[in-house]
Amino acid sequence: MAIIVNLDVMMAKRKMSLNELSQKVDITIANLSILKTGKAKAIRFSTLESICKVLDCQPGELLEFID
Amino acid sequence: MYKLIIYITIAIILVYVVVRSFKEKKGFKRKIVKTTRTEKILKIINVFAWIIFVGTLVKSGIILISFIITLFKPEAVVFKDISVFGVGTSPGTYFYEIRESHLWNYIFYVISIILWTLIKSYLAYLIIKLLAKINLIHPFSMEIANRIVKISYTLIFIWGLSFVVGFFDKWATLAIGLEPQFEVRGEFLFIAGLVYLIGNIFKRGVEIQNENKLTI
Repeated sequence: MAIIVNLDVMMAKRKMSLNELSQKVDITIANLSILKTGKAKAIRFSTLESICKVLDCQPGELLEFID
Repeated sequence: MYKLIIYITIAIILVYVVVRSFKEKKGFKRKIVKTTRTEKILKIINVFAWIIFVGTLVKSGIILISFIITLFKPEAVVFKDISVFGVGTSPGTYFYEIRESHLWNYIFYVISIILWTLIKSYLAYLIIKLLAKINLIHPFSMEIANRIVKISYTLIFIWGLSFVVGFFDKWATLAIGLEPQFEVRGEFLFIAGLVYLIGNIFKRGVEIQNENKLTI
């Protein structure tokens, strides 16, 4: 997959667990896990917005394009 | 005799279905609270598939046993009441003639007919399996899509087999100076194409469903 989700990197930087993030973003752990492992096919703007808000980062820091 | 066995089998299946549905109604909690029209239609199709499955299986069994009997005792008029290719075909007389004059033609001819009947029962079996596997709450799964595609392949095989049956039919009937009794069933290819198309649309639907599931 060309787009890589760096959610685990950002979570490590903010020292936040998956459980904590799941509670703050209001997304199930299962869905966050799908996102983290790169299995997700798409991400809603609303989800991206809330993750960015909680992790205090830009979408570009979460998503990366690799050729 | 043959018709009697078929009628008894149909009666047993119907009684079984009625008793089962009665038992379901008596249960404390039914899994599906309200049965929709589509669910009812699927249940009816299931009953028909069972009838076709058992019917074709019994028919092929009868033809096989009759075939074995005629191999050792040609004068036995066992094929008299069996409609091999549909309503109105009674091969009792000409089967005997073929058996008497051209044994190998007869053997290949009847074996191809048995295969033809068996493959039709296999088709009914695939439909039964499909209906058994289908989950009416989440019916769109890749397994069901693959099964539908498999049914279309079986239909193509039936169409291909009809050429073989047609060939042996011609070979056997022309040997005794009779018109061929069997026609190659082109409609099977058409239905196979249609089922294949539906199967692939179903597959695409499953793919879209999976994509939606993986949208966070």
